Amino acid sequence: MNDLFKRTLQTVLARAADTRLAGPRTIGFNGRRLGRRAGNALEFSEYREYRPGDDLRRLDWNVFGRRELLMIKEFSEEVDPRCDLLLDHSRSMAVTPEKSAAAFGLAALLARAALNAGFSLAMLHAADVWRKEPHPESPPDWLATAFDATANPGDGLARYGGTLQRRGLRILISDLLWPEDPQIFLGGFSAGAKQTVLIQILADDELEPVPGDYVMLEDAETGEVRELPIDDAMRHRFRERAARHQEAWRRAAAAHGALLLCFQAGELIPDWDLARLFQAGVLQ
Amino acid sequence: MTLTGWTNSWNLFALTALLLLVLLYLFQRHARRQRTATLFLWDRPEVPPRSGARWHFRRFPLEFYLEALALALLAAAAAGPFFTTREEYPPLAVILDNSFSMRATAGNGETFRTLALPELRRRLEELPGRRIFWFAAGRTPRLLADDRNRFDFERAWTATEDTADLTAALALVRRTVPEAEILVVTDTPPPENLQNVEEIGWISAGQSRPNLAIVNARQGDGRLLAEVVNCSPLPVPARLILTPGNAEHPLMLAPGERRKVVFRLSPEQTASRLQLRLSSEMDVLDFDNERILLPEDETPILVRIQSGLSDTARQDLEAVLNAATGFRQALTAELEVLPPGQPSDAHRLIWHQPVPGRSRPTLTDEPIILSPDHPLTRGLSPDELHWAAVPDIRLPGETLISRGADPVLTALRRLDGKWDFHLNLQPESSNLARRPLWPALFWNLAALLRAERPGAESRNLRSGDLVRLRLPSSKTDSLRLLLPDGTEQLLPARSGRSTFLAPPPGISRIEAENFQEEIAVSPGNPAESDLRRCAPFLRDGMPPANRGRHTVHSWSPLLLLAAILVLALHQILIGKKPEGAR
Repeated sequence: MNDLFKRTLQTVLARAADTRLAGPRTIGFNGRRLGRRAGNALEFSEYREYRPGDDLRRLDWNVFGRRELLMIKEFSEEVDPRCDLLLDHSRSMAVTPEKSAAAFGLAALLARAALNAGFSLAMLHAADVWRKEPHPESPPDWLATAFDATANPGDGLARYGGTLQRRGLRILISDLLWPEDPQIFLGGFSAGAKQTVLIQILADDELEPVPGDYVMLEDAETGEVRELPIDDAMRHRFRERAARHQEAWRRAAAAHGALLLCFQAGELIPDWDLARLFQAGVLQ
Repeated sequence: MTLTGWTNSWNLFALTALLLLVLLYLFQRHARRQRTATLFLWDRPEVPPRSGARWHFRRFPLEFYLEALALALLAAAAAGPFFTTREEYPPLAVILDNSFSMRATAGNGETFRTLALPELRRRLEELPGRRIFWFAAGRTPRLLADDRNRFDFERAWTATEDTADLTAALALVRRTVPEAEILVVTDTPPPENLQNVEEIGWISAGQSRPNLAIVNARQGDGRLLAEVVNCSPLPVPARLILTPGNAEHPLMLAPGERRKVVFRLSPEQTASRLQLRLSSEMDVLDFDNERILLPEDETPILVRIQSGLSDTARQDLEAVLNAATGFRQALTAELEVLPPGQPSDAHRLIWHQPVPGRSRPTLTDEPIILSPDHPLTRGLSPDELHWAAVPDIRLPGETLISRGADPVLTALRRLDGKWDFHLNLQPESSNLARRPLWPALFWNLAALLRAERPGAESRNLRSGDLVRLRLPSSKTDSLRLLLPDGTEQLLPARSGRSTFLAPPPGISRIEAENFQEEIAVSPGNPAESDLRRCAPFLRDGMPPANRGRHTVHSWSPLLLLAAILVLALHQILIGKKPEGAR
């Protein structure tokens, strides 16, 4: 762990002391989160009209006595608040030190905020092999701090998606830069989740063409080298493809009810302005 | 032959700029390695398979190749590539000495002419296919042929003329083909005025050789005058033989001696063709050793004195007509002497005399002036001449003799072609009949009127003379000339007359409608017979390097234009905004 990581963790953990991860529902009487389905919990949820087959014991006789309406009293199901925090450890996350530091710091912050909010946190390192962090409460001691995986989360989802908790909050911290269709990934990643949050960390101007007329680009993950004479037309095509890529993720997120937040590492690192996370309701 | 090459081949070193361009591109396009997560968003260029290839060649953009092409074109244009569509040379003008001295034989028995042929052929074959103008240098230079292929110059080179005016031939060449390279083929070295003219090629195969020649022969009054010359540094024995009759005259000619020999002719010889031949063992040029003389027409002019002349005039006339062999009085005359106003179909000598009581002749001290260029006044002298004439008479025609401003003898050709001679003379007060001018005037008159007869003015001519021919009919418009070598020429005639240059030496025959005549042409030029001036001489003339005149076409403008187009295309490609580019 280099100095940048250490400084980042120091800053982040200081900021995380008074932050809590906001869940999809308010907390129940016993401090647990309320499930979306109707259940037997004491927390009243709403009235609805009686439908044949409903339990007559849940009829509100007071309403019937006053207004002669058969109304059923519904109570929310009380569930345990769960959170799966998935950190992309692929090499592409380390194309710049700021990018990897921002991703790692944000993961630490969200982990600490989740624990502050009482979430049952599962911190997952999405490397070539997904590994569950045994000490999510202590980011400095996380077992994986390197970003050296050759596989992206999309590659590992099919294999390790089963480790994700059901009916919980799922947060992915990644650059989302892989060519596969986002719909497919999000279809698997958001399946069974109460809510899905995608936090995209990009290096500064990562979606802008690289400067220069002739570059030798090396893929961060596969090591593939490609010499490119870059002209205006090629830059234009790159911008178009980058925009289409981002748009594909936005559409996929919207289709699966996921929240997509995009951060530039350079903007995030210096003072850790978390306003957008608060505004989006991820933190509270 | 088509030639290609470079005008400034050193400029091809500019092609090293291509290497510089490659280095610049390699330096500029030295790719920096950069890790990225977005490789999949970039274009995927076609990459050649790497299997088996040790070196991976970097591809340059189109701009590089355009710049390299422009550089190569500019360097090539600077080097000045050229090609010649064909090789041309200035035409060659060959002047052949057509004088008979070219027939002289050298020591090995070959003539000067044949000795010059090998060198001439060598120079002709030096630049095959070039245009050649052939000129003959004789008394009058002339163009023989404008030839690009193979002209049979040996056949046309007759070497029969009595002189070769090389200066006039050179002037004709320079006037006709100013750009031509000139080659003179003769038997003498260049004359003094041409010795330093290095541009003129010269072939002389002549050799200084002894020679004897008949330089003159004339027949008349029953005699034949022959003149021979010894053009050698040694005394030479010779014989002069006249046929028919085989009269032989032995000679011993001193070096350079010129001797006249007179043969008396019998009446039979006078009326026949005479052949005069000079024989000597030391002679090397046979062409000038023989003369053929044809009998001239010496028939007297028939003259008739009409009545009406004064007694003195008649006496003076009869005296001169009887003394001269050219006239004979007859009733039917070719010439009639008569006072003015009397008609006649013959030539007329109209003697104007004073009318008694109306005019008086005068004798003045005004000078007697003779026309210098008329055959009637040729050889006349006005010395101590007293010419009395009637002052009031105006004579028609061309003035031949005038007294001061007053014509006293005129000539006028009538419409029928006959002559009218007008004479204003008062014989009683003049001394004309007692002066040599009087018989000489009638001798000229006889010659003039004899020339008016059909036939050649003279049947014995020398090379270069003009043949003046009068035909019996003025309607004859052409005549045939049969040359000594058997060839035939058709010559024009006009108003019954024809004048042409004497044909080559020998006997030629003239034929026309109801007319035929023979003429004899003889070479007679002592200078041409003198072979002591001959000597071998060779000069190349124009250097061969200067003869080549290539039609050179340069590629440079085309290459320059191509380079500009390539650069323009390059600029367009650079400046062109890709579709949709921002």
